[in-house]
Amino acid sequence: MKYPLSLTVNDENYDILVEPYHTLMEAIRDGIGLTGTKCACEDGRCGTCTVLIDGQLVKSCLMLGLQAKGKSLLTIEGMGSPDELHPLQAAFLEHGAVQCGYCTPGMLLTAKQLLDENPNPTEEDIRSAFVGNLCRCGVYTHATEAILNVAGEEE
Amino acid sequence: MIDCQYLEPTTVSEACTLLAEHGDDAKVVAGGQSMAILLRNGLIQPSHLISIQHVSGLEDIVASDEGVKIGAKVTLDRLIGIGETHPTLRALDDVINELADQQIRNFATLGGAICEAHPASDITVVLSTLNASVKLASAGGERVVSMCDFVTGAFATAAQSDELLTEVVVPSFDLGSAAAAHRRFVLRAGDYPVVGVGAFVSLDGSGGCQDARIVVGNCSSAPAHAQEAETRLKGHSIVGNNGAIAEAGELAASHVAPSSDPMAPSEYKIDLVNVLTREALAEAVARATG
Repeated sequence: MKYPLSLTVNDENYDILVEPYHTLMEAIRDGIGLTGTKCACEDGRCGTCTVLIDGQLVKSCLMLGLQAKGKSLLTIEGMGSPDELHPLQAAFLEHGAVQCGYCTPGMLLTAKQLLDENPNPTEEDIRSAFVGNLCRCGVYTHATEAILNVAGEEE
Repeated sequence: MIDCQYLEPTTVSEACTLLAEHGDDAKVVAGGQSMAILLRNGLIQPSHLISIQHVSGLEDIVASDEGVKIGAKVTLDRLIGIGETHPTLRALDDVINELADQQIRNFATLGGAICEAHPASDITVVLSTLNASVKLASAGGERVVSMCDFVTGAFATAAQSDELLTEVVVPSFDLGSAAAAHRRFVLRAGDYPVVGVGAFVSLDGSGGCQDARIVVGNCSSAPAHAQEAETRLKGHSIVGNNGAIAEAGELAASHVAPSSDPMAPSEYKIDLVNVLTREALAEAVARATG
């Protein structure tokens, strides 16, 4: 049976209906229609479905939608817009940290959370942060440069 | 599609009442980090999901005479560096600091990781090494089960369908003469290990081994004590005795029969048991004498 789920995504309130076994990723993509949160491995390995929930990183395929009741989410759609890119988005573009682009939404949210908590990360900090985000194109070096660049500029 | 109800108790007692009512057809959800996969893939089809998200009183870490008590809902993220605050838990640092990734550690709970009873779990191995026990609550009361008895097989535990794991207790030991360590071998950062080994030693005043526990993970369906290796060490000299540690490694390796899998062939895992047993023992001895 479906249950009501009220949550805030990118500062907008949503009221949808979900089955108890629906994941948060399904709630975001199918229930709300925000498809920037990508769906790939669906068993918690790849991190492409990463979003922020009350400021904490989560792989949205590993949480049930109903567990996010009343919470506030940030997805890639809330990070920046085509006209006004988030500094990390701009830096990813500038440094070529995007190839196929499928992992990018998750990587950007991980990068944002890293800088929110640690404005001056070392290269090692960045590598550790990306343990949960797989990129098969291998843009890690470029992404690391991009993040270091943004951290440097904000100093 | 399955018909499933979602229940949200707010106390342990309410959760236990619901478990007693729905029993075998119900599943408890804590962080959801394993449950979501099982549900999504249709591997389980419970009639009721009992979320303990809003159950209070399961998130404390308290040191007492009994030892350190860790609530079932304490997240793995909160356990990072726990050995600094509670030195008897230092071996947990060997495991948690490299376990999974930030996203998963943020929501995965200690109780959930134990109840999943994954055969490659480092957590159940290190807790068995530390001689920990778990508290199980039910409508009928409470009971305590040692970690070694709790995991009964791959994804199988001694918890009855009406019981809720509420707390993990890691007993105290004398930090001046005893210590534990855990060593693991992983192929990919954040993944389950190919093999993990935990070692605990307690020393007498003259460099001898009073007590030893060696627990091997991912070589059978549940964490297994390397009893022959433990027996070899107890009552014998261990400090500065690399021969005894090497023999314990050989003995541990000669008594496991892991199956080959895509990560590694059986012989490779057996070699790992030998190497990791020696490393974990050497580190435990170093900590106990340091």
